[in-house]
Amino acid sequence: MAKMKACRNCHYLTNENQCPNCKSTNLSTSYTGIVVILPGRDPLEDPRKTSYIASRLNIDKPGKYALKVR
Amino acid sequence: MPPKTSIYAVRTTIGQEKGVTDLITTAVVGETDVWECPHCKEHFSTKKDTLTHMKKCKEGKGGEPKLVSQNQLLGRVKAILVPETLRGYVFIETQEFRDVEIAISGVPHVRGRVGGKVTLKEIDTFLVPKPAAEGISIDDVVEIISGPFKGERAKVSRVDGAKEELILELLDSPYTIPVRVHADFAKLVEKAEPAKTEEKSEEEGEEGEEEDEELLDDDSFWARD
Ligand SMILES: [Zn+2]
Repeated sequence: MAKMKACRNCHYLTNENQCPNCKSTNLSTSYTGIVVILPGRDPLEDPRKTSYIASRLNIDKPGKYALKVR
Repeated sequence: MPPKTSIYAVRTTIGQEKGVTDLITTAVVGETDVWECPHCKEHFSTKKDTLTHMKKCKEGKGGEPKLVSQNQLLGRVKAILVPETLRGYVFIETQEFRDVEIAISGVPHVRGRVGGKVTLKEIDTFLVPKPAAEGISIDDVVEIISGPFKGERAKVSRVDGAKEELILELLDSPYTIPVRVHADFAKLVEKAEPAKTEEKSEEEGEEGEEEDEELLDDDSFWARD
């Protein structure tokens, strides 16, 4: 599997050429670390309210993200 | 109000941190609850869907949907972190320790869990990474850990902090051309002799101490288990 690309704007990881999360096309293959924010039982719940890691990184939607993007 | 969760460390085979993360993710989101119609025994993933079906079920009327099995992890496992700077570890944020046990059970390449919680201060060192070039200064000796000069040692001739780049002079090499390397790809091997930068020696000393990191503290989770 090809390495996923990370959005330089929101850090979301994707195989597409556009970030499905924020629609940015500014993607990078150079990143380190991964953070997965898992959905709650209510899929619309803001993860920042229930997860320390999501609140610290200011991630407002569940998904797979890069920790550090260059 | 801070979320009422705790963060635990899990040890993995080195190089399998991402695979373990994917499998735990699947365990949390891949499995739905199972509800059953009491009349025809058909299965549904929500109580609502079962009730909708029961209104027109040909086998019978009334009764309550029956909960056959429930996903135990959804809503309880909040996040998984792979810092990558620390090989062989994955961090899991959950409501309680029991959730970690369930999440990693049967996952290959998990080598065990570290007893006790990871403090927020410890997890912050991974969430807010230091700039790569921090702690490296002129005349320090580094080892290049990636690229065509992998394994070579070099002396730092300049630090470009904004670009997080180092300009290096290779040691033990006939080339005298400077090499430009991203600081992520250089590992500090030896601090410069304080004598060479006498006027800054005090500051250097402080930076040197920081290199040891709090990771070696006795109350750090590294010291436990
Ligand atoms: Zn994005």
